[in-house]
Amino acid sequence: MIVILPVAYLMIGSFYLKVGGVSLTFPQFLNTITSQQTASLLSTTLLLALGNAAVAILVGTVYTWIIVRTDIPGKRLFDTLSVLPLTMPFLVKAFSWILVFSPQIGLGNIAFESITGLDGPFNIYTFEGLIFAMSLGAIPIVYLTLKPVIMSVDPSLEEASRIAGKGVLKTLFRVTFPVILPAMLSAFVLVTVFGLGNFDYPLMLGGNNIKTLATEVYYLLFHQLPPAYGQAAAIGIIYLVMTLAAITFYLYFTRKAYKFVVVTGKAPRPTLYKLGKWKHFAFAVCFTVLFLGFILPFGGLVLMSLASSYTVYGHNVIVTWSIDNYVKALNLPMFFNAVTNTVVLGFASAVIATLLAALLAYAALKSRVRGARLIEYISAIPLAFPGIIYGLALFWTFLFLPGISDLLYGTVWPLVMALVVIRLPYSVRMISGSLMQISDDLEAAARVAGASRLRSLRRVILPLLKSGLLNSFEYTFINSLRELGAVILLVTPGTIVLTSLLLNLYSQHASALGIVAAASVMLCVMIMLVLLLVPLFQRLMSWGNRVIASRRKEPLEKT
Amino acid sequence: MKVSMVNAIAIVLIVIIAGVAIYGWIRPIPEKTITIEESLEDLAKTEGTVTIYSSMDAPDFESVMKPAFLKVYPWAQTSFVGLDAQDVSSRMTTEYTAGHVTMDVAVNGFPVTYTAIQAGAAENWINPMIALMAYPNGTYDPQGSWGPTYSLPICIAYNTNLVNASEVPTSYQGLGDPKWDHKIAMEDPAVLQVTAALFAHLYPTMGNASWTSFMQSIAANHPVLTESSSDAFSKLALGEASISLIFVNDFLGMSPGTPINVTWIEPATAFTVIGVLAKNAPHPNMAKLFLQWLASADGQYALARTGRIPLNPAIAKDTLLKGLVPTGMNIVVADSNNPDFVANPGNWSTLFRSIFG
Repeated sequence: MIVILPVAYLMIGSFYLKVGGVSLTFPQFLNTITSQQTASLLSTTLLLALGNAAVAILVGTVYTWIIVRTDIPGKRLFDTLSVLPLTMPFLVKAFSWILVFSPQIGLGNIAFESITGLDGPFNIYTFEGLIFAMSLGAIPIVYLTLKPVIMSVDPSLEEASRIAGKGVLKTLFRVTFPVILPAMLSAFVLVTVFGLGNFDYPLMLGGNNIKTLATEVYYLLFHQLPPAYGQAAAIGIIYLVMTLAAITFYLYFTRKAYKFVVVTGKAPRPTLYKLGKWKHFAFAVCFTVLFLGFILPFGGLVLMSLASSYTVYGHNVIVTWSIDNYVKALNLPMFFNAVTNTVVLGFASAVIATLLAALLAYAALKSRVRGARLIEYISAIPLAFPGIIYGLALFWTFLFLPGISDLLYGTVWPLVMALVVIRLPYSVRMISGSLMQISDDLEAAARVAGASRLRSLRRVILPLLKSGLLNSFEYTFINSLRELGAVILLVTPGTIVLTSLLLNLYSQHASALGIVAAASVMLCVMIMLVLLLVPLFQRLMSWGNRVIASRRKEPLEKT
Repeated sequence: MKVSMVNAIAIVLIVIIAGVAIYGWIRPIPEKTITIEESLEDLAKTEGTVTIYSSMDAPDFESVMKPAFLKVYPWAQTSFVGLDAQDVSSRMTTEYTAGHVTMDVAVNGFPVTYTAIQAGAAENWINPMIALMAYPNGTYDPQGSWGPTYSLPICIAYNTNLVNASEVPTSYQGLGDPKWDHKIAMEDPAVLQVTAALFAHLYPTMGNASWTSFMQSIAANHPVLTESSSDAFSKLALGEASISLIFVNDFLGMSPGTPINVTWIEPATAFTVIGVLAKNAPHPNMAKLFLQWLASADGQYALARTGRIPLNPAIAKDTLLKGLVPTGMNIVVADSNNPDFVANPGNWSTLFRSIFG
């Protein structure tokens, strides 16, 4: 209901609700979805999304495999830092890319020109620049989706291949990758859909030349007077069709889910390949991915935050260093309220989304009820829409639906719902990827031993899903902290969040860029602390489980 | 004659009521002098809080405007939501359509907010401070649908590291010179704020052909289009652009050491930000009190402290405009000569989009 109702309300309401005296007519609807302009926007959007996904999957799979299945130095550090690109809000990350790769002021170009004497080749304001920025941002999604799956691959399959005389690479391509293929496809679908709906990067880096369906929606909602809700909803239909097509492909390829089962009653211990002389090369590859995906843009952000004035002309960078921006950020009147709201909302949405996703994934994959796979389609519907459209749908639902508007509009609950719903598809995909690898035999064995469905879920399935569940929580929490599009329409006086405060400051106060950068650095540090706490929490849980298990043994030993 | 108990009671009651009525009729009614402020403030006290939605940035409101308001009305409470101008207007319209209004006051750019007013989302109310403070025509609506707050004069800004003062255009048409190719940053006119208001103002005087040619010459210079004047200023300050059209308050509020200077071109225009009482506002009397204060000398001087030009001409000249604008130059309200822009801003947004992409 929470997924379908807002969408239905938006679609139907765009025809019947006269907001600002305007509603959508059927000829307008047809004209919007069949116009040449829409076709052009659609092709740009698809090219961008597929290009972004292809690069992210290629690089992300190699990156994930190296970290999870080899003896690369700094393995644990890479594991913790891999999701760091997710910590930066899109708004400031786009600006960081401009600082680094703008043709006029980019530090990357300045450094290149200083070293080589040639003109800097980097231009973030191009199609290639957009794919570069988007794919680097998507690698963490690939990592979070593939990591639990790669860890769960039965090593006996690979050992059998090695015994048969195949080398590491052949084993990789002939055994490992086919086994993880469903998860790769799952990640590809996720990243593609993420790219389809992303409007922050095309808006800030696309300029006048690169326009997508998402930027068109942004224009219709925020540049038209009155806002063209109906036409924005019409474009939402196109998104719905694209996403349902993507999900259909995904389900078709993973139809025979049992083919990919590798987690059975035998506890797998993944093989760690020894890299030998390739160790340094592998380290360089992973470090480069991390450097480009996080260190470079974060460095740009820190630079802005420590500059009370910053300007570039020619090859000269003129900076006045100061920590004033941090002082001003901390003294912002609503800063601490906004941070508190942000953290509370993030935590609540992460917990609810993870629980819901686990239930949905289990129902879709393990339930024998007819039409259970339909749940996967329904849970994926929020993927179909850019965050701003889903935010608009929720805004209308909470504002126009009788009863609900009186109870909930103006409270924190619309924001929680918005954050849960837009992250739910990603959580379901992450957990589904892990769940698919778990044999039904394990649960059947527990049921035969007398455990109830709930007990077998709790004692057998959930521990094996632990990694997927934590990744889902981590991903939802982090992205909730930096979400803007879905919440901007739902913010009211008591529910200001950090991203809306920063956007307001950035767009209405010319000298606020440094303050926004400082606040964003603090937000990133906050998220990094969470990322460090999650593995600690994992270890704490494992220690707790061992203590409980050892105490359960004692009575038996005494008797 | 026997009278029942009920009849007796009824007779007594009738006599008492008649007596009170006669007394009320003959008693002289004392004359009570009610001042505007007293009665409105008394009514506002029963509400206690006002919710303001505005395109002003939250820190400026919380650190300057709110303390100034509370100094006069220490019992009051305020809630502030800072959004983009379009968001404020669309929120106002949508909440009104839904019958679930949460905002009391909108302080927002004129053409964008006028759409919400046309949709019926504003309450008509004649602000008494308008007459008391002698606001000129054009700074308020005579029907009371909107009132004065502040203005944002529009000027040409340039990066002093990249451009000499002598190179800066002395006419708006100079922005179409090919030497500015890839060097202009400006707010997207489709957003209907600074550049749209200025360009719309120039249309009636230039005529359609000349104006269209002027627009196309600027578009041919591939300007970087931003979502706001502040965003354009940021690009200018970083050195990504050499020249820009901005609100002067961006210049007034810049950090020390920023290599930006401004110049004025006639006709010098100012973008008007208006105050609107939301229809069906939850706290209408507090809203009126706030709007009244905003138009008062105290409110206008508070706005000046945020770097915004008060709409009251005398206070504007006494504060930020002192020494800022060349002597003898008048700043007119942008788009005041273009009623079509005010009435049909959506059409102009579409037109600008077709020109600039």
